[in-house]
Amino acid sequence: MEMLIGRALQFQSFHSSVDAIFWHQLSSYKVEQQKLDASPVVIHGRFNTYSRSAISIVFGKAPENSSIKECIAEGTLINANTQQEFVEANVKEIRESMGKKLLESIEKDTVAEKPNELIQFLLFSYADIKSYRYHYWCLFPSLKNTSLWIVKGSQPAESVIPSNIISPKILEFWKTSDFTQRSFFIVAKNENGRWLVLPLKELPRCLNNRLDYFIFVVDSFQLQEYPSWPTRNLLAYLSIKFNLEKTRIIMYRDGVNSDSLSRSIYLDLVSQKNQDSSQPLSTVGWERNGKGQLGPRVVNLSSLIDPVLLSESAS
Amino acid sequence: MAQRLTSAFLNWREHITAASKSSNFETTGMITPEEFVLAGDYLVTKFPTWSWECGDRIRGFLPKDKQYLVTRHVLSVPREINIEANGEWVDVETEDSKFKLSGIDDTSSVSSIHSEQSGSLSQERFHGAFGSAKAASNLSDSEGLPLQDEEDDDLQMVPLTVPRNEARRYDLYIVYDKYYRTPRLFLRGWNAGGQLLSMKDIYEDVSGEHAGKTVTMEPFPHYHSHNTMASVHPCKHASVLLKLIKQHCERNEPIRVDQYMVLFLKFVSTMLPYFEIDYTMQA
Repeated sequence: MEMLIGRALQFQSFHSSVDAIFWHQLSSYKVEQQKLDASPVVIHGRFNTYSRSAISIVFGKAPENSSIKECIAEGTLINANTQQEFVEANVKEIRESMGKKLLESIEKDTVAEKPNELIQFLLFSYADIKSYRYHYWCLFPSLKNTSLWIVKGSQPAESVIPSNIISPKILEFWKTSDFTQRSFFIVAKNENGRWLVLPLKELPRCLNNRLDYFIFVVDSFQLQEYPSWPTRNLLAYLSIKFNLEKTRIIMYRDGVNSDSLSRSIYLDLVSQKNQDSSQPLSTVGWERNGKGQLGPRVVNLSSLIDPVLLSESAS
Repeated sequence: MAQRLTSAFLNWREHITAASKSSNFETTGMITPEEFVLAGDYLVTKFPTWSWECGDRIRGFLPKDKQYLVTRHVLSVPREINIEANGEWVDVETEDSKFKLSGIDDTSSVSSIHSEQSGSLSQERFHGAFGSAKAASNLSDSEGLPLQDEEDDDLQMVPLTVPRNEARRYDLYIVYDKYYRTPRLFLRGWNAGGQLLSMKDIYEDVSGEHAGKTVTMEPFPHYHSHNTMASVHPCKHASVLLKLIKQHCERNEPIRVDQYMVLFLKFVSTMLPYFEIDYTMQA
């Protein structure tokens, strides 16, 4: 990790995994309920410390009682009615509107109550139902031109906090709070020297009382050196809303079943104005496709359709 | 087509077979639905990456919230393996699939699973990956939409590089097979570009002996939709698991019924030698 020191922190993008089941559910939703109405549909994504920057996209609302092993990002599906609508869509506008939504969550601080508003995402699609071909493009929005964060120090998390005390408390925190609180939380030492796990909304208290604290970000890392997308948006929140010039982050990479922090990494960061910061904030985050381009993908599911079941449903 | 008819027949046969209640896993290698839940609970507790899910088609002999088990984003990494060609499934052993079921904390082998990087990439797999990337581009990602790489100047993002050994990810599902009274594995995979893998692609990740014979496309039983997935046929599961159970008894490390699923995973890992199936046993 030493190689990072003195450099501006960079982030690893998220990869979407969209299961065939998702497309089947979208198809039946479209045929039975949505028809030609193109209003946004609620979807969600699941990731955890083991998912290597990948997020599984799931149709419908996140279940209240979702498994505590998973972090949940809430998303929006916009499904174009025709291929032409899909191809001619103004994808910059879609991107900027998602960025605006993110900025609003930060500025109005709805993030305090619902930290996972920092990881809102969008899936834009066109379902060619008859031929079982689905075109889609995911957007994981982040704000460009926000402060850069320079790595001053980096160490194994276990060298800065006692994992045997913290790990069970994280599990307890995940069990007792709802899923919107799981991706970002605070570990702080209170006035009496006791370690506590606190929701992100307690950040002002930690700052005002000058508590010894760390912000934990659940990191589904793929590359050892870089945190993934959620950390980027958390740091934007800290710069824009709290004007913080330094912060201490833990890239939380152990699972809730783990009783150690052996995979997690501590980062000591100081902010530095981005050279582009005079420019208005803009948004980035469209996922690259299989060719590495900023463009959609297409998946052909005709080979997964079971002819026996198909003939049953046709009869 | 014959295979389709067979699988329809098997579904029907499962339908008319009453779920067995009495336990005799030590003598038959089979488990009841109750034991499936018990063993699944143990797996979910001890192995952080596994969870219960319910799907949208509830099978009544299992609790609503514990219909099948799932783990996502499992990597398949080609590496050198030793296969003893004597036709016995259990003897196919990768360097790091040797783990102790009873010695809860075999950390040395656990760390070797996580730290080992693939050595030389097998020639077959290389062509496979290349071939499927080509196939994907034939499907023509929609014209017109791509942005002129205007996000390229986003210096805060690590440029996308997909190491070849990170190329494939799988979601694995374990369901209960009522006819064979054993767990049954389903799997779905994606290549580095996020494209779903075809059956042909998946065969490259299955040990040669099983590709095309015991691994076939089957309807996934927990969804109403017409949805097929690669699945390992369970006809020999009971006899292989029974053999593993007996081996453990002979070594004086008897298996409890709740540990059955861990044994099943060990068996699965012999068929899927390139998969980094998580064996991290945590207290």
